[in-house]
Amino acid sequence: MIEFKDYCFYYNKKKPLFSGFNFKLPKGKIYGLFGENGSGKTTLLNAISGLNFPKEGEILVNNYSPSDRLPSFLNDVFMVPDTLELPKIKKASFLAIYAAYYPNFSLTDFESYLKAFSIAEIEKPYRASFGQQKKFMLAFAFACNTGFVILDEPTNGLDIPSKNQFRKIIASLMNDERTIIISTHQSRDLEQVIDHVLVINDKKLLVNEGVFDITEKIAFNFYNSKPEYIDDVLLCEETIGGYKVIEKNIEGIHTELDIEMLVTACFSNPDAIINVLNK
Amino acid sequence: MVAIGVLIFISLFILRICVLEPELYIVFRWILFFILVYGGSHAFIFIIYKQLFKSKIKTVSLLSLPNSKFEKSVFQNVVIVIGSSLLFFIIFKIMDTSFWYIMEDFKNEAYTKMLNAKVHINHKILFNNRIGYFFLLLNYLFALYYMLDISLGELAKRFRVWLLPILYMPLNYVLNYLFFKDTMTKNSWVQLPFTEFNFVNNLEKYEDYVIRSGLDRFEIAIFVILPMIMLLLSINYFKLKEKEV
Repeated sequence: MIEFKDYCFYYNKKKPLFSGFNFKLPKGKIYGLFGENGSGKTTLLNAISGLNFPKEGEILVNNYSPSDRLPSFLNDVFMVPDTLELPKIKKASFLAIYAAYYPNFSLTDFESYLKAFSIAEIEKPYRASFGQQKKFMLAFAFACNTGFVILDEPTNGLDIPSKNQFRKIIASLMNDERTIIISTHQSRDLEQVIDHVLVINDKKLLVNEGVFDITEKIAFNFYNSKPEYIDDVLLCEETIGGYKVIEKNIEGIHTELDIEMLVTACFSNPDAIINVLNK
Repeated sequence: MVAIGVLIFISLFILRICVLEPELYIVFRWILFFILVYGGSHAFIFIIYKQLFKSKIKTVSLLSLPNSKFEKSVFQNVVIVIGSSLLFFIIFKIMDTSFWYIMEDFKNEAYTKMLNAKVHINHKILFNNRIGYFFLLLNYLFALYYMLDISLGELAKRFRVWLLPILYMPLNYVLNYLFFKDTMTKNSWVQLPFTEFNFVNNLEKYEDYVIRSGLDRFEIAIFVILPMIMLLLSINYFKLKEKEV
């Protein structure tokens, strides 16, 4: 369980990023964290990982305070940041040094993930391309089998086949004890795997709902012509061949979640989104 | 960084300006010594701090490792602080020895004698010797490359961090030659820190003499190097504790 209690954080005291932030994230889910640039996604991930400290309030992750940075907490959390710099050592040395920190690390899993990402032959990962380094780090993160996996823009730099593999691996990793939090702008890469959506807007958590709950209240439809009724429409966007529409789910039929449309609606029509989701 | 460099220079100039009689030098030995260590320590702390924390990416990798802050601090300091410190002194010694051979026309006996006794030493000025210039330049280039190569980062990134100590040595040499060539013996221009200060005979009653700081190598290790390293370890531990990305 991740719990934020009256969490407040700022880089500039006159412009707080978060103030009075309260929410809980139960374990056993894959959370997708979305928001505009500068909304604080990476800051939240860093807070959960213990890389920054709350200015006020507290954060609890499995009853640990992340800012204490206790080894018993850190060896159950793995964060893959958006920008990596691998140490200039060979793969074998990397494993010898870093795998020892994580008690549940599995070499078999690591090698199978490397193979899935088609980078099994790389011996000097620091000389690989950005995408290959990202794949290497993701493989290592998954192989550590930590209870919390935090990924900041994980698909950034991955080729299309690797994105497929990434989705498969994420889906296979999940169990009731594991929590995965993914911050991304590439919503289409992860629509299939996310089962809980978090959207930050204007220093608030505008959306904190499961996918099922969202699609129960909101319908994502495509029409050939612009709908004439507007009362129930939350967002209408013209696209090739017609219009993508987000509207209240009056008929009660679950449609496929379009995260990109949902996030766009959160920014353009936040009050309407709140009204619909809170009913 | 400039201010710290100036502090070191000031401390060394104080040493140069004071052409002390041996008895008086012993009284002020610890004050001058303290200035040098104090200034040098500050310079080194600054350099090491910048190396550890100037890269946000590396800081994330360091702070998210699941070991205690003490372990992180010790690991980083073993790799960077102690290794850098040892390498710094080794390179300093290489340059000092090389320069001595130039000054003594490549004779080993005079150097050995110099280390062990208070003796009257005659010096030949070989400053215009082209071979000497080449040898000196070669050693400085070697030291430059070696000091930059010890880091795991890119050469361009580390250049600024090491620029001050690298500039310090030749600048020290040049300034001593310009202002103190009649005061100090030539082998003092690039000298081992904390050990020896050589004064020319400006007064009739004294011959040229070698004045040691009074510390032998063991004492230097225990009373200078070890406290400096312990101080750096402590500072880095608390910096690590407070560090956020």
